[in-house]
Amino acid sequence: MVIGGSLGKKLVRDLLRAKASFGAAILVVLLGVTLFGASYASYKNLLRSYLYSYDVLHFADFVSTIAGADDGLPDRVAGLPGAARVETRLVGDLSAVSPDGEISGVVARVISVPAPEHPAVNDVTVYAGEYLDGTPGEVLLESSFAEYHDIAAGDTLQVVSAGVVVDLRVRGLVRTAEYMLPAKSKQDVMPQPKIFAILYADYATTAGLLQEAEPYNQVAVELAAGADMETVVAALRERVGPGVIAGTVGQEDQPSNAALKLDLEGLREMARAFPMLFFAAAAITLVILLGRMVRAQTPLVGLMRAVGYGPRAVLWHYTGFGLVIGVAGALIGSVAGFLLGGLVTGAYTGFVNVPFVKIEPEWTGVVGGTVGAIVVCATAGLLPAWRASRIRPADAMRGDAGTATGWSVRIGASWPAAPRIAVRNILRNRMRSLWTALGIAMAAILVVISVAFLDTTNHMIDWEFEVAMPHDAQVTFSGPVGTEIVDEVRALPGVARVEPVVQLPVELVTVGERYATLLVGLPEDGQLWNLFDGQENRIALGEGLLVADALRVRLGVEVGDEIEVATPGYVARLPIAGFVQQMMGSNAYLALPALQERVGIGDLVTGLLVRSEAGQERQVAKALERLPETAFVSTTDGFREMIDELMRLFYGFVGMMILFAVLLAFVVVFNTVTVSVMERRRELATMRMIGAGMGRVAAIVTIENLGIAIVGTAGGIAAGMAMASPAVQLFNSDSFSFGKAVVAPVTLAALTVGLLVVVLVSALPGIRYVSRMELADVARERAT
Amino acid sequence: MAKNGATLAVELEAVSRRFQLGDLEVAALTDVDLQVAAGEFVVVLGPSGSGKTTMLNLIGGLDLPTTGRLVVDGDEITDYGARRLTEFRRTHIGFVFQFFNLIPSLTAAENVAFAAELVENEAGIAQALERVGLADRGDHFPAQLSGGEQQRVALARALAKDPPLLLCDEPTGELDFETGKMILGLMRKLNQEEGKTFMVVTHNAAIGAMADRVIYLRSGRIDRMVINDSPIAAEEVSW
Repeated sequence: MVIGGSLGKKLVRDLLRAKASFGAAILVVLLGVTLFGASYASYKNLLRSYLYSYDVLHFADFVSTIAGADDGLPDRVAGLPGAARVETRLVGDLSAVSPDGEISGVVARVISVPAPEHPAVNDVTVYAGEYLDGTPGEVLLESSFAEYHDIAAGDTLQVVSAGVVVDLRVRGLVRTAEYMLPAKSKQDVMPQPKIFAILYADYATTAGLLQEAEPYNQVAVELAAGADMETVVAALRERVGPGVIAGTVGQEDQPSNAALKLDLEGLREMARAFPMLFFAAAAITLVILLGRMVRAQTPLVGLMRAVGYGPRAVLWHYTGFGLVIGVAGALIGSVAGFLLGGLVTGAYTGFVNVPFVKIEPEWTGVVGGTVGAIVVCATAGLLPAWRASRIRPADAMRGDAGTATGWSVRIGASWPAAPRIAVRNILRNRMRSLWTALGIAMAAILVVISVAFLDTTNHMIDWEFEVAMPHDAQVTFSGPVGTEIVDEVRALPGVARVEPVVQLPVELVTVGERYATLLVGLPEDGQLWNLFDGQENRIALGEGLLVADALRVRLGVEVGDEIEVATPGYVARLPIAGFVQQMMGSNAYLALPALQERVGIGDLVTGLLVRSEAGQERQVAKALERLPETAFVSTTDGFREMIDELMRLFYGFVGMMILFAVLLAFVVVFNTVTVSVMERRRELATMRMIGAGMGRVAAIVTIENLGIAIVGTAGGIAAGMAMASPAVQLFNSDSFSFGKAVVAPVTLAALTVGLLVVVLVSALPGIRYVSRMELADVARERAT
Repeated sequence: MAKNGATLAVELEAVSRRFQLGDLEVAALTDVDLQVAAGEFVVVLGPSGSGKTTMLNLIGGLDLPTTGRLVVDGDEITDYGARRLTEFRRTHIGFVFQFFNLIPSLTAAENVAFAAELVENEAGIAQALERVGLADRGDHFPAQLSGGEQQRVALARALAKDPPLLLCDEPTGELDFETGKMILGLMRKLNQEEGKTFMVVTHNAAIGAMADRVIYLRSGRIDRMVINDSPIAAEEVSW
């Protein structure tokens, strides 16, 4: 009944007659299904690739940081109960010389591996050159830094060890499970291929470079099947002795994996949320489109009923429009989504250097998107179709003269004709006005939320670098250093301000939850690392502990609660004095003197924050790297440059999002306004018949549409602003947190103007149609 | 009142139809008694608002009376539900409207098929078009037809189901004089040659001259009825 017979022909021809409107509706469905298919396929392919790579390379289920280990550690942890494989290793960070010599602040992480055999846990796969054979001074270089700087096997890389530049030969290039995303730490998950190099060297080379007091500082464990991590960690604690384990990071919290998981979750959320937005927009468009079609075809509905078609036939006929749109959009969209999914996965796996990529056809996404689109469209079509089927035949034959009642018909009695007619038209058919305003509001909400991601991120980055962390370089020492270093650095040429800092790896422990992070001690009167709450009010350091806001939920703590802060040789319970809005990572903070006193490190510090005089940043960074106490130097310039480069990727992603939103907004607004004008073309032509010029008709239509558009835009912006913060914060984690969403006033102004322009442009086809209409045809059209 | 000995096509007993418009109750038809014989050509005349269309809608099963009894072609439809009314319209009634009410996206033949396929009488499509003299215009869309041709398609659509009773609401209201007369002639021919019962609602008093009987409605009541012993041919009607 939907496709066959005369009603089927009518359906197809009605669709073709309004092909622009229905085509736009199909486009919206198509985009929704494409996005769903692509993001779902990408999600599944990435998950499959990650898990396969983890499996093949024996990615550690947990890594414990060891303090005070001796040479006997490997023997003690061998055969650990519940562990399938164990690897003891030495890991440390050094400053490296940028291969192009143009930037400072490059950090090299050196990790010991056995040679010539591969490590039992956290293995690497060599894709260029060869694995290590024990030759001193040779390293394996992780792919992201190598590819960024175009380094090949056989090239030389320079690092700074104890103030001395050392040449290292790159024997091979590798991909790893541990650094698929080259994230420095959980507190610093932003991939930094430009300024963060990961090197694998044999034990002797590693020890020589790092010059650590202890031979090993990490134990990486792959669990046996069915083993429980907590139990195995307890067994490890027993093997290595009390107070030796400084912290344990499970696979879930491992920086690269956590960041990838965050991306995967983002993809999964996108696979869910974005198609929902598109389907909702398609549903609204269809309800408006079909509702108005039913209204325009009311006499035909009456005819169908008079001739002998039952309500069910009418219901099926008008539901058929939604069904056809759903099927058309779903079929094209599922093919596009399928193809796009492969492309996105390929691009993404290239970006994150997945060792082994597994792409398989994802039929669940294709079927799910197709079924979802068809169900949504058919359901959207059902509402107007049901209304059509409920029209009493005699009423349908009479037609509809509108619902002018009450005060609305008298409003503006003293106004000029154009605004009077426009306003009365808005009020005369309130449902039509409401649906049009709703369509415009929906478009505004979509754009505001999309733009909020961009504006909020930009605002946060500016805030982070210019207000929260206004230093140019951060020095991390190989070990604790006396405060005389502050004066020593202050005396270096080009240094404007120096502040000491202590950063200790700690575990924050609450009932049933342990969280490995950094405890940061900052001077109470410091200016180079400032702390703020979610409302961007500055928070002063005191006796109590300040904790990143993201940990409020993660650890289930509130202000005033006491929390255990544990590090080897030190365990204390400290009250939480407040929560800090922190963009990246989730640290704990204490006033420097309080931290030094409580941990018992006297006036020792672990690093410095340095601000340079204008134009002296690079020279100062180089001088800092050459200090014998320095392990590595991170520079704000290098980091900001890196962030800006990464942001280009993000801008691309958000740009696509905004493009989709704008496209969607255009379709929704175009459809609602076009239909609104087209369905009244007879009325408008009648105005012309009785002598109104096209100018007046256009003025009436414009005032009416602008009136509705202003209400819709204002409502949409208000709703979008209210929804923006919860929307961006959906992506929050303890590694990356969005604060309150920000939408720049200029963005809102551009959005408002843009929407109003779309509304005006959308009215043009109808106005042109009316202006070109042969007035004599008006009567004929009425007759048919 | 029916023709002597003829079967009744329509019978109304004390039929009233009232509408609720906000707080106001409007009596569109009040206590109407009427009998129409099968094969009769009846013209219903009256000014606007006199209840002509309401009466036609009731007889055609588009609406139900508020009170009274209504029998059409031997079936009492007064208490019919929506489903039985649909079935009734499908098999018993052919409608012709003032504004033709053709589906603009269907050709003339497809508009006729629109009704024919309901009674599985696809074979009757060409025949119906032929009966109204449009055998060669089946592929044309309504916009490509003149007003008279459109009304003839509407008539063919009504005939395609081969209903015993045709209800025509102002069938010449949108047509010029000559075309109007041509449609009326066609209707009369179908009435006389095929025995179809016609009830034609109009405000054009001149059409009454070609009817077997003229019913005058005023304010929802039958004002008077006039039997026309010597109806004139449609071609002789003049207004």
